Amino acid sequence: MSFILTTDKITKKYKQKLAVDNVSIHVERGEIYGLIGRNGAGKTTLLKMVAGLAFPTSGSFTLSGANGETEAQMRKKVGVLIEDPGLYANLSAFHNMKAKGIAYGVNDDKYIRDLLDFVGLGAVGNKPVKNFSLGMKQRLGIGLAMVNSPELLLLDEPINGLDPQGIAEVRNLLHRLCTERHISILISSHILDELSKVANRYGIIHNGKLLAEATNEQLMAQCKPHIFLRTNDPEKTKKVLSEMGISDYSFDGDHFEIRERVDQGGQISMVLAKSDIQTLEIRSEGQSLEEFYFQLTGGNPHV
Amino acid sequence: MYNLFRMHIYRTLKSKSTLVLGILLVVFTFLHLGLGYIVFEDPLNIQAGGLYIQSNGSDVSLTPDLVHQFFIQGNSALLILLTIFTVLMTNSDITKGFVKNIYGMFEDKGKLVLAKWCAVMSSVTLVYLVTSIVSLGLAILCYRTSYESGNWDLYLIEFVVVYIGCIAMMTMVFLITSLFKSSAGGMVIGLVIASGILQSIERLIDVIIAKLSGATGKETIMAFTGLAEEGARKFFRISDYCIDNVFISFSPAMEQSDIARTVIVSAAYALIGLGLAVLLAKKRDVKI
Repeated sequence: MSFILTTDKITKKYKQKLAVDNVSIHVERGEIYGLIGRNGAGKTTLLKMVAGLAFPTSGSFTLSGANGETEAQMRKKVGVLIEDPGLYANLSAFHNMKAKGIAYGVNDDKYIRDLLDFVGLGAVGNKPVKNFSLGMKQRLGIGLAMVNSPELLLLDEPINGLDPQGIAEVRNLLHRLCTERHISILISSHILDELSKVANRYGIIHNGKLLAEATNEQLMAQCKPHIFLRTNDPEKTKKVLSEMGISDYSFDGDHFEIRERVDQGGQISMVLAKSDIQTLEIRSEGQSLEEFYFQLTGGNPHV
Repeated sequence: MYNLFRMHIYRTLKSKSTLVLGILLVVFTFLHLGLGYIVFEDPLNIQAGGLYIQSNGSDVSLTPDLVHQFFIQGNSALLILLTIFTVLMTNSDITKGFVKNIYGMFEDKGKLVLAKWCAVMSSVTLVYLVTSIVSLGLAILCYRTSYESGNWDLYLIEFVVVYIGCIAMMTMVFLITSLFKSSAGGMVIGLVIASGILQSIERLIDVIIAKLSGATGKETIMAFTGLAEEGARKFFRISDYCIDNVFISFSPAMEQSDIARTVIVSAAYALIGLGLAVLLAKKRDVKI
């Protein structure tokens, strides 16, 4: 497994408040890593530390290049969009990108124009960015983050405040960055639903602590719907389930978790009854991603 | 670091505020030219022009060193514009948030500050050079009767020492702006330094020191006016070590030791100011 970014017990303390507490995350090369957490959970602070905008109180992070680049070289291969895009409002999109390009030694105007095209701003001309819509500014922010041909993009709440059209545009852009340009992306958001549409891997952060880190598959498995079944005769139950053609189940010595025909709980119960098996407990289980998140963070999804 | 320097210059050249400040500089230079016309028409008015030279009421030749003293050193409008320019150039990437795009490129954040300082001071140097040349040219053109070529050695001293003083003052403005990360705060404090408002306070402290040291009435007055006693100074004067006072009081006709003190104090302010700004960047997070 090749990680482009790993943090090792990174901590940030502001006076008495622990904003980030011993967080260790692992971002694989070429993946979109979603950092989920409520407002104030510590997502932005974590990204700021990785971006070099804030100094960790303790702990460290490692950036690894695909071609054995040094830490100093890798720092120049990180693109950043934290909170709102930092733009010179009176300058055009091109001049904003050109300014960053100069700082990173990118003197190719064509490359910058191509990037503007890539983020869908190729036709804005010399319009000052202060006249851009929020969605255009966010896309320009992503374009700016890409000027230095980054291997890792750090995006903090890039869809905040966008309308559905803007959200879809940014989502498509992220997919294209990952698939066409093979850029690894660490994206933070508190909008779980949107994050689940782009991320391959998640870190769930709450009150500065990383509660869980899981791949999309692991999360889906965790959240996958199933039938919880407890009977008075497990051995006979296994036989009946087999006769019914149900094979995707597990038994932990106490109860079954049946992961197929999950909408046929009533029928399973009837067949068991006909076989003189007493159903002690049967219910549908499984969580939405949101429920899983609230379970971890101790929040209430129904407020 | 060189690329960052280029970026700051590029951004400054594209900025509207640079254009506005440039226009204001031209306007104020011509206003100063008009004021100079009144001043140099009558030698008795020279004191009003801020030129502390000996005059017995007869014609005074306007040599290049006096032109520089009048147009550059004694031109508070120029200093104020340079202060505003320095504050804007120092703070714009922070207030606009653009700093986020470049702050991660070096582990050593001091390099970012150093690159910005080089860009700001290069711009200040350019303005200083252009204003000096243009003002000399305008003086030759417009004050034909009173202008007289000569005293080039004094001009060189004036040019170099005032330049060092200018860089020192702008470095202090740079430091203050970096410290407060606020254009308004940096501008207010910067303007207070550049306009010499603090001079009265410094002189008052001088008087208190002189009084506590048992100064006579005349010596107390000398301490307040900032004039030197014959020979060595008798009492310590804090104003001799304050950049605003050192800058404003400087004259190339001073004694060599005073010129040396002016240079050393100015250079020390510039170096300490830059050093502190670099140190601050090494320790502080970016607030955006």
